[in-house]
Amino acid sequence: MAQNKCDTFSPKIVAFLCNWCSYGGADQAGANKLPVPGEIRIIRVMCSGRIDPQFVIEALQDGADGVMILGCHPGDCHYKEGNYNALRRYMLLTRLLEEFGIEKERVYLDWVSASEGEKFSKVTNEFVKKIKELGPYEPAYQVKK
Amino acid sequence: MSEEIRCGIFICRCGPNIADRLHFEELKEQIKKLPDVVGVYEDNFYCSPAGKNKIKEIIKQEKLNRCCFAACSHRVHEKTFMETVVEAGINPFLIQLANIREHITWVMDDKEKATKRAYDQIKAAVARLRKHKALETKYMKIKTDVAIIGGGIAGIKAAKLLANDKNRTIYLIDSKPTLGGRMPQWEKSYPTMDCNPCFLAPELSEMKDIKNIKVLTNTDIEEIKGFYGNFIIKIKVKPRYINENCIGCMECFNACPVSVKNEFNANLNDRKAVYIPFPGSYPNLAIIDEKNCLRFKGEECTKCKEVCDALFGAVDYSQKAEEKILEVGGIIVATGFDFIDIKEFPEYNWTGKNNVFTNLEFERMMSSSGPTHSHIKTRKNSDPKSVAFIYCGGRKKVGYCSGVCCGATMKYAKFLLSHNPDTKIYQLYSEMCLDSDGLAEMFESLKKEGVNFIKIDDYKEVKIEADENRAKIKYKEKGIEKSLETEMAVVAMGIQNSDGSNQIAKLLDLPLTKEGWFAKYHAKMEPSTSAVDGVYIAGACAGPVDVQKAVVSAKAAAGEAMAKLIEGKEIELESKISYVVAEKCGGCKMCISVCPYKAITFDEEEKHSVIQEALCKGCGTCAALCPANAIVNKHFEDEQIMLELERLIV
Repeated sequence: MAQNKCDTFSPKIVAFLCNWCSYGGADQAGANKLPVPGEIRIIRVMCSGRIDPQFVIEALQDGADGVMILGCHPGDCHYKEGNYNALRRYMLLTRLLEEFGIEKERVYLDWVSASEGEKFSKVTNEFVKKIKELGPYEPAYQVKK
Repeated sequence: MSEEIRCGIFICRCGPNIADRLHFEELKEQIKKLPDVVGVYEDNFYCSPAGKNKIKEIIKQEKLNRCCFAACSHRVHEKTFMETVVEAGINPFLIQLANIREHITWVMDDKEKATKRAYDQIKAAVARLRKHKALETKYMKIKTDVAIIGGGIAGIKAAKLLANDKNRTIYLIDSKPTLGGRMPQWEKSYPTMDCNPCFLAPELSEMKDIKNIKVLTNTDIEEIKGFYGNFIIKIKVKPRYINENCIGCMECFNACPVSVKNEFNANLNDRKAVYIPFPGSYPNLAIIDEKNCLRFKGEECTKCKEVCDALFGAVDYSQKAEEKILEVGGIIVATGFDFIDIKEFPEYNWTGKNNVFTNLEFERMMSSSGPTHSHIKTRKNSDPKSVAFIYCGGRKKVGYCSGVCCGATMKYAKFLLSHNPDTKIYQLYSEMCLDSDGLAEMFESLKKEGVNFIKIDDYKEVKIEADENRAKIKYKEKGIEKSLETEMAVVAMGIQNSDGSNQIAKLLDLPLTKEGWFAKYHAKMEPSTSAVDGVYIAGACAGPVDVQKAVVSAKAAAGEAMAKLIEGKEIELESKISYVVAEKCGGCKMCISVCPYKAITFDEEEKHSVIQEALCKGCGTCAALCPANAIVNKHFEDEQIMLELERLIV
């Protein structure tokens, strides 16, 4: 049954990429023709520090099954420390998600540099696989907009 | 009243790169039906001159006011398309790219899925455009004034070179009460044995005649904001308690009842609580040392004032620290070095009472104005009959070669040969660094003149036993344990980054090397440039240098500053910055703490945060954090991202 679900389910995944590192990493994956799954939808922000937890919640509410936040490696942030802020918020957010009965694995944070096309390909493929295993996101209740 | 949105989608075939890797015709049909879209246009290469001309023609013909480019990466051609639409009269921020090449067609083999993905990304881009706002591109004239942090020889030489341009003001800042840094403590320079203070004296005395150098001694740096062309430095001029009437007559010294160790002379003699660090200090003003003056311990002493009131009236106990703001275009950091502290090494057994000395102590004894007036003395004040010099002091802690101690230590041998010719001299080294002009020749000639150079196995193994009569040095030579008894042992301590450097590194976010020195932008190609634009490095704060090399690096740093800070030059400011909606701000000040550029201040009267446009770089961290949603990150506004997000998924 789980196997069946995994085969037919095509999740919707939003990936927030920072302009300077992870967006470049995604470009690098392209330049090297490394596979990136068709389920990924990309939103560019200037810095991972710009990502308001509200965007992540909104993405899930809108029907995404998983959200990726990819920033610069610690110490490499174009804006010095935006990625650390992203990390702090992510830690809080995942705790909050658990409180609400949402699998914290649906939100994924990692660091991808502008030269790490291979890592971008790897983490996107792994994340899609993981979300397929988890199945579609079914909110316990829907917040009215 | 809002204008009608007329959006054109320019979909680039990119040769076969896009067109052949998805269902191109089908995609075009789909995106034509998106709201706001006036037309879908295609070309083989929109980035080519012909392609760009087509864009401009279409914009004018179709009266477009928004453009979506379904093409390659932002990193490749966002700028190209921004410039192209500007030529057709559209604000550069009223476009949006959908990267369907790097992010889609190059990474997917399934045409069906690639088409679907491209459709979603274009749909989201077009939707986002509805919320785009025209942004103004602002320019700022750069400031040409320069702040130099550190008033040692590097800072002084950089300041003087820059001061040739009389329209430029140079702020030469030092936390100490005088300029000069470490150089005046160095009695002689190697290998020529020239008098260092004699070189420095004219450099210092000329300062008062150079009107565009503002010397700020006894001054701390509290905060540095801004960037290349526009730095804002908050400084604190500490009170000296002596005003400008002082002529440095030293009468007050005699009156002062407090004696303390004189740090300038390596604590070998005393100074008063009111003092001038060394003869020829600049400015030549006395200073009252708050830590030791009786008045600051609650006593009613006015002895210095009584003496001075009869002469110059320069003593002013009411002086207060003064905060000032300096606005400059560039910064030269020349914060020098500190010695590695011999007290951290129990194996050297330095107590200040036995006959183990540091190189600085020896150096000060060499000085004619020093505590022993050019006489080398043991702690019992006798002439030593034998002296051993131990190289590489403290190197085991820092790991690197300090570069300048070998030359200095040979200089001590040369000094003894001429001043105490009967003294037996031993030099215990395991490695010899001879990287300055004439040092190799000095090494050879000293050997001929009878200095005993002993090549020991390892500087890490040296141990010293000592009392006030003698010093016994234990070491290994060719694997055999040996010991040498002399009347005096001098440990040549290495150098390390100064406390001041660490503090400036934090204020400017300047990276340090693993050894603790300021990192050069490129060790070979950009040795005077730091990792931060507009900040240059000079002298020993970037690694060990002798006086000559410090001067070379100072002039190079000044050259960089001069070339970059030209009168009338403009820099483009970031357009995608953030601003605070005053009515929404709750005054929690959380944004202030997260801003990496210290661009946010709090308006205490109006009770809301304010973002300084010139300092904001637009990362949006504050906007994401603000619990009241009172901060708007231009071009990445909440509603723009939310709409893009929704259209990407739904």
